[in-house]
Amino acid sequence: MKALKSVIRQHKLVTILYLQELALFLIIFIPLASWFHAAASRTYFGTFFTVDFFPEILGKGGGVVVATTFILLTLLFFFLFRIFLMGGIFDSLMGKYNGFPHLLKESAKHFYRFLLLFIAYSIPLLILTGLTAKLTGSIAHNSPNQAMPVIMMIVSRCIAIIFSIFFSYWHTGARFKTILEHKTRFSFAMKGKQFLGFAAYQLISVLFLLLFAWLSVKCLTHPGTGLMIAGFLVMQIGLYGRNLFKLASYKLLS
Amino acid sequence: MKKLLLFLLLASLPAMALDYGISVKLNPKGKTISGTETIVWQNTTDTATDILPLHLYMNAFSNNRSIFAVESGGKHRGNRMDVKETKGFGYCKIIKVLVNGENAMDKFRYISDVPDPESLGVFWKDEISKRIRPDKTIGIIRLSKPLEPGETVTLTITFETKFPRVFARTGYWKTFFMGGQWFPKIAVFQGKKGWNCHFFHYRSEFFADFAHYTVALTVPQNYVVGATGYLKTETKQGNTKTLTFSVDNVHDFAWTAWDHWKVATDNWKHVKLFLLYPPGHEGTVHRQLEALKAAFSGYAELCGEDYPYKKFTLVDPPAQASGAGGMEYPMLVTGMFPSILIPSEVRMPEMVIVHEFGHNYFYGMLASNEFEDAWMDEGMNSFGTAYAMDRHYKYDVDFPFLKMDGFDEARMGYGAYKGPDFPGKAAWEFSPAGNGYSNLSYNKPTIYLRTLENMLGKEKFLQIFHTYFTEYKFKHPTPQDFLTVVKETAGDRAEDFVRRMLYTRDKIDFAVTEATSRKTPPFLGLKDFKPIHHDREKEKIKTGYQNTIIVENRGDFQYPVSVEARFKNGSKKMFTWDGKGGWHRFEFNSTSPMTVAIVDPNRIYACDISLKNNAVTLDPRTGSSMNKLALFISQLVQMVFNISSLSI
Ligand SMILES: [Zn+2]
Repeated sequence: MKALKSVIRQHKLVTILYLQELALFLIIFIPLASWFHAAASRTYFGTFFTVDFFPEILGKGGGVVVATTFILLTLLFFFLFRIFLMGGIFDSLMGKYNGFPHLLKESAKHFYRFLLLFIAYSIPLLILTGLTAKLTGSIAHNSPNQAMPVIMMIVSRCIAIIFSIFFSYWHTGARFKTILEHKTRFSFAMKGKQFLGFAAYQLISVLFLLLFAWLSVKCLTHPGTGLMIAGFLVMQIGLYGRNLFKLASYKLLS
Repeated sequence: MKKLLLFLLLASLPAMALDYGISVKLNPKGKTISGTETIVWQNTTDTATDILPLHLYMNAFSNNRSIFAVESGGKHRGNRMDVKETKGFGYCKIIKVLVNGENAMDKFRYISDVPDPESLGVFWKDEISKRIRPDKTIGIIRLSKPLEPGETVTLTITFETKFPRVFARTGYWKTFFMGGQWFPKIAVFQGKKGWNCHFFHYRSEFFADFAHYTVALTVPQNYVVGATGYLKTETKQGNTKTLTFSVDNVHDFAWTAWDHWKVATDNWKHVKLFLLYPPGHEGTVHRQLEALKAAFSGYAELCGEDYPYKKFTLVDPPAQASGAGGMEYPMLVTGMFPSILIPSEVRMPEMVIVHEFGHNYFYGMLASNEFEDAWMDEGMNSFGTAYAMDRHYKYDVDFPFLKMDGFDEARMGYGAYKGPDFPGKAAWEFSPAGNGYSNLSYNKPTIYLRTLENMLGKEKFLQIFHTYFTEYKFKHPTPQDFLTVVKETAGDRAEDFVRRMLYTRDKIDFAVTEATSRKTPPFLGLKDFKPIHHDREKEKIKTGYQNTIIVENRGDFQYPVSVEARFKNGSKKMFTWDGKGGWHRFEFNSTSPMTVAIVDPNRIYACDISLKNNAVTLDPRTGSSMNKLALFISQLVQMVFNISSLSI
């Protein structure tokens, strides 16, 4: 609880992460909505939204390929930018927030170190989760029981989550060490109680987001402009909360 | 006189002019089934024959150079041929042939060993390209003397069939077996037109005569078997058991055997229903049986008669043998339930079940030639599927925010087709590019027949299918037979529509090209050369809107169409246009501004290839589905970013 309270006090850090995600939303939403309107709002689909919208509007002229490429490139840029921001965020988590320009300066200082740490911890994680998926997939494939693919999918995802928490824990420890020592440092330390607290915050953060995302989908799949706005707001609360709990998990290790 | 003699002769024949007696044993380890079959075939035509061609379709899977393998590139509906292991291939080997009890093995040849096979006239000359040598999917027995009209011949064939690793309808996966096209089957003799015996192609399916079947299958004790026909006896010998099935009036026999099958049963009127499903699918049994019963009722309504046999088996293959799924045989079909996670709002497994059952009408009883006229089984049956699904469920995809019925699916598929073909072609004659075969054999007939239904009204439309079924059940109807029924039941225009659907690329596409709604301006200037005096108050009340709608007929059918104008105050106005002259302008006044102009608002022309141009919207709504869709996608990206940056 102490970690959560201190992150609430440093809510500006959460807001910085959230604003990055809001920017991502706007960068995708504005061109998409404009495209749909320009292509279809004066046609049949402006009055009757039927499934034909997909082949007749989205399927024409390679728009989907352009949109997908745009989304993927934007995501890549945002990932890099997030790694960049994390230098400043970790620095602030260790001391105190000294304004956005200072945060950016710290971010720049640690960017390459953080990028290296990210790659170093992600690759073994990807290999391990890939191997798990392959193993569980093969168990599912060889079983006559048709519930097995679902059981194995759940098992594989659970194992992947456990691996991710371990690697995230080490990755976070390494990032604090790197800030402290001003050079790239790795960490595979394990403190039982601290790890459990870290895992708890991480799990809560994901569950919080999933709950709000589910509520948002419920709102969006029913008619009405009011529900559309509600759906958007609910999702944004979910994202903010997820960032809050995530930073709390990091704070535990500072 | 000759004809009378022939008639008397035919009348004195046993009930079925074709009889199969098959006795085989499954070897699960070797993935083979072997034994003997006795075929009693009678020449019921007025022409003699000196050959007997056999279908040996399992040889399509014997290597990667068969016509099927080359045409398909070793792929079938997303499943791949297993070419890495010899075990993955299959074959049907003829070991011994007796004709009327006498050894005739020296008279038997696989078609690949027949010099100048075209001269036999059993398949079409354009059926195989030069680069594919005839494969072994046809076998020819030469008779020592011609079989005259009315004469009967008895063939006793010893054979071994090796199942391929299942990827296209038939084969094995571990201990699972789906036996389709597994025994030597005699081709269809059409008298003066000769034998009809095509190679096994990638696209085409099957064609055979109605027969009486008695099949004795020996399998290990712990196997559960499902098959065409009725189970007559079951005997045990050591650790095997022999199940004997028999049935009259079917033109194929399929079976499945697996030591993991679970069985659910139900009834529809007089029919005992069996569902064979894999462990883990317990939760889907209710959905599958509901779909099956919906199919029985839907097709009974469409064709005017209940399914006549007393038994039906639905096989739900395991996902690992998905290549066996979605296939029809008489009295037994395979469905497909790829994952237990498919939500009940997505009725694709239901749709497959309805479709495959429907083939028991369009193929099973109305036994058209699937090689040459794929639209007669696939096209009519795809319409039947959409009809039965619509009747029971309304939608195939049924979310509050997205609904789609079978006609929508077919229209979208056909709408994307840009190729040069039309449905009235043999399966191998379709250009391989652009999904021509499936769009034209399945989708185009579905939406054109729906259009015909809307144009004629349900009663008249059903009359066509009722007549067609009554006249041609248990026969081999041709496209001309169907066209004749359409003409006699619904008239020339209906027949012209169906004929052009089959043999031309003619389409229907109505469009609203312009719609305007402007405030009526005050009358200014001179009237009868004198200045106009304005009573401003009075004019304010009288001022309304001047509206214009221009509609175009961009299609090839000059059919009448209705046009609807909707206004801001909720009122509507309807117009009709005879569809002639290319385009038409409607001008009219209204008190409220027009918000949208729609051509064919009741969607009579279900085959209209573009919906986008069917309306002009003057007043687009804000909280629209388009905004929601954009919002949904953007939030999804946000969430993916957030979740996947777990450790960042
Ligand atoms: Zn079909």
